[in-house]
Amino acid sequence: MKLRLESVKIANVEFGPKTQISNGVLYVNKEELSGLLSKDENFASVNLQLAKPGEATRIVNVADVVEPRHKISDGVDFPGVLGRIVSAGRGTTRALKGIAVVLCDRHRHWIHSKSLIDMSGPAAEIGRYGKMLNLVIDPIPNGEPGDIDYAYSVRQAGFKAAVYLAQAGTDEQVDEVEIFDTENVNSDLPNIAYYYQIYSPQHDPKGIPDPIFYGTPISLTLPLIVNANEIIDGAVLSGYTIRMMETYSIQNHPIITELLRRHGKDLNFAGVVVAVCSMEPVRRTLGAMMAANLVHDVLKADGVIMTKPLGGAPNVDLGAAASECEKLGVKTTLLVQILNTQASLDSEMLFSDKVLNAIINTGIIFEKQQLPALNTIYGGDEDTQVFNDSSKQCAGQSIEVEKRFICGCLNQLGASCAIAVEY
Amino acid sequence: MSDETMRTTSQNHKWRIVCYLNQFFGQLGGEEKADVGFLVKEGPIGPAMLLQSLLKEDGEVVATVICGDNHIAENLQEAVEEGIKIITDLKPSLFFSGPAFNAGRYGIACGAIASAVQELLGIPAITGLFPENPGAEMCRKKVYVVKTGINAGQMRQALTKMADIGRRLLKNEQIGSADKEGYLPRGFLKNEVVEKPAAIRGIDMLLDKIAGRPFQTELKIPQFEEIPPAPPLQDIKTATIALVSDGGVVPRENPDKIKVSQNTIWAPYNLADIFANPFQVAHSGYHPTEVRGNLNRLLPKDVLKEMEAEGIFGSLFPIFYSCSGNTTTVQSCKAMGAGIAQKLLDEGVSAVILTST
Repeated sequence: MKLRLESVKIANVEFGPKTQISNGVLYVNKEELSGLLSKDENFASVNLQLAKPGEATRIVNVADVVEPRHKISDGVDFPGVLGRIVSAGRGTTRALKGIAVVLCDRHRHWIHSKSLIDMSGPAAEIGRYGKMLNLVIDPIPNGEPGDIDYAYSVRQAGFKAAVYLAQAGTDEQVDEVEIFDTENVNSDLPNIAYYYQIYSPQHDPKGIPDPIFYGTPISLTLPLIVNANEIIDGAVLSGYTIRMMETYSIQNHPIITELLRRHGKDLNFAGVVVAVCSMEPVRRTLGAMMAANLVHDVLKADGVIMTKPLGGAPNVDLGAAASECEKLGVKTTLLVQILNTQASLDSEMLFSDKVLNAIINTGIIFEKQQLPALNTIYGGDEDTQVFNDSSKQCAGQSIEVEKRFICGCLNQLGASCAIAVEY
Repeated sequence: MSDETMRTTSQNHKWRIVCYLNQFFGQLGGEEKADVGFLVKEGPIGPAMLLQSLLKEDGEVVATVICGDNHIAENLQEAVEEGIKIITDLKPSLFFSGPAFNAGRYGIACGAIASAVQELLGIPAITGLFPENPGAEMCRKKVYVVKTGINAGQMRQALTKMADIGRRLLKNEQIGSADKEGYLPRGFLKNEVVEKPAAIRGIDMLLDKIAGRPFQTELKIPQFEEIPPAPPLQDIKTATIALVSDGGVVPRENPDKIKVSQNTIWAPYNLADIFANPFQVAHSGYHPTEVRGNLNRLLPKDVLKEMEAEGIFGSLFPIFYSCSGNTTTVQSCKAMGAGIAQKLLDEGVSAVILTST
């Protein structure tokens, strides 16, 4: 499977009479895009705003971030979500670089799943998106739609907007081309696989089996082999709750893109095993065993790098799968987050197999960060509640948030340079 | 003592520094002098002389307090109180003990004295210990403990770091991470930024591991304590059985303010009342739809009441203990567990059924 990813760099973004790119500036016809997105009956209207680095702007109620992408050939845009089911990962995809589509969900469900992006101050320093150009999609709910219905609508709007923007780049000169394919294998190099837990159904009882794989919920799926190109080309998307694995970071998956780029140089990228966590021990054991068999016997991997979604519970699945891989002689490294600051680097693992001796720490998710008040609020207003474990606080004030809610600060897939250090 | 109080001490005048040493480093003698009680020598003695030269710009070692290892080890608490009185009279603005390297009695003394000085006098106190010195675990969360080698061969390196940390604490300067600065971790973590993202570190580490090259894990598998199971019940027919759950069930309004995550609070509630009245779930780690639908799913009162009626066991304890187990540290879990267990013992409960989510 061969994917050609063509990038067009965007230096600035402005609203204008026609959606087009001119001299690196993306002009967006606000009325046209807003009209396109407002067709959803769950929306009374859709606000569009531009947020740029350095501005005194806070974006709240952030539910996802998407890179503008449009399929030029051999595929459809976001298959299973916007288009029919056609394999992602083949043909040519055009991406706009330097700009992100930020989706805001004003629905009051589950306040503690929404993130924020500040365009200046400490959160902009430590978060990826505060340093980028952002087009903020901020729909206003029509009446009181159901929370899941509404989350679905917001997501659709985000992906539509991402395609709409990228279409403006169709005839533009391309700044960079990358070809991703893993055809040629050098038998002298180690075979490296990636074990990717894309979902944990621990919140499914609320009725949220998030449709994250080709627009399909996969809560009970056993481990699968999926081509790496499919994953970065729109087959896997963020769920309804953001949890440090936003769509942008999947489209630019730091492990997959690194393995693709190093394929044939210092490693062979043997492939990806996609897995779903289980809350039930027999099924968890089955999933771990099957994943290890796929990594060892089908992908023929010498080593596997492994990541998890959500919070604490998936660690158990991660550890179980890693132990099974090591039993078969496949070396493992695992990316693990730390929850609390009152801890040490040898107290925080939720698994105990001493064979698992190569663990990357991707930072502390509950570490608190003070943020100053910022003048402009997008995605809500100054009274919008921003989740804080101990008190109610409003977006327009100086606030204290846990690092996990600063979108783009920490990342489950390894995009962040944050690391927990002992003091 | 807060960092603020620590840092307001002594701004303009030269600092008064006091050092603590054992009989050996205090140049009284070896093991034969280990019973010697506290004594004060004016000015710096032994290792304190090096501290004096390291800190000569800012301060003066006004006295060296010396005590025999046995004297302090035999009755630690009393001896520390005795030492504190002496040290208080010397009006120090900065205090050092040791370094004691891997010397056990001396290490415990250095840790205990430094902790007490910092807490009671409100001044920075610094010691230096080998990580496996038994004194290290006792005091590393209270005072800065510079990590030393196993013996006095590394005296200069240890004292240089101790002096440096002491100076910066008094000057209100930042102290970096344990690894960078060379002290023993004080029990908390902070996020920092490194050059390479985690994805690249992970791939590089994996390639090193496969090739057999050395690599450094960034997190270690914990050494879990082995907990022996309690002995079986002598007679279940007379046993009083209680329910304990970390599922976070609380009466409406959550009267004890059990937190939905990182919780440290536990509370007893009447089992009959929680079933008869509206309740809520203080736990954000699972979705409580099933529990709300039928509380017996978390607290199996229905089955237990039937079994009690059939005489399978003595009686169901009318109170259940509730807490929320979600992203709580092991330390907090232990503290809650110990509290609940003691209460159950006091109330004559003979067995518990623990339910989780």
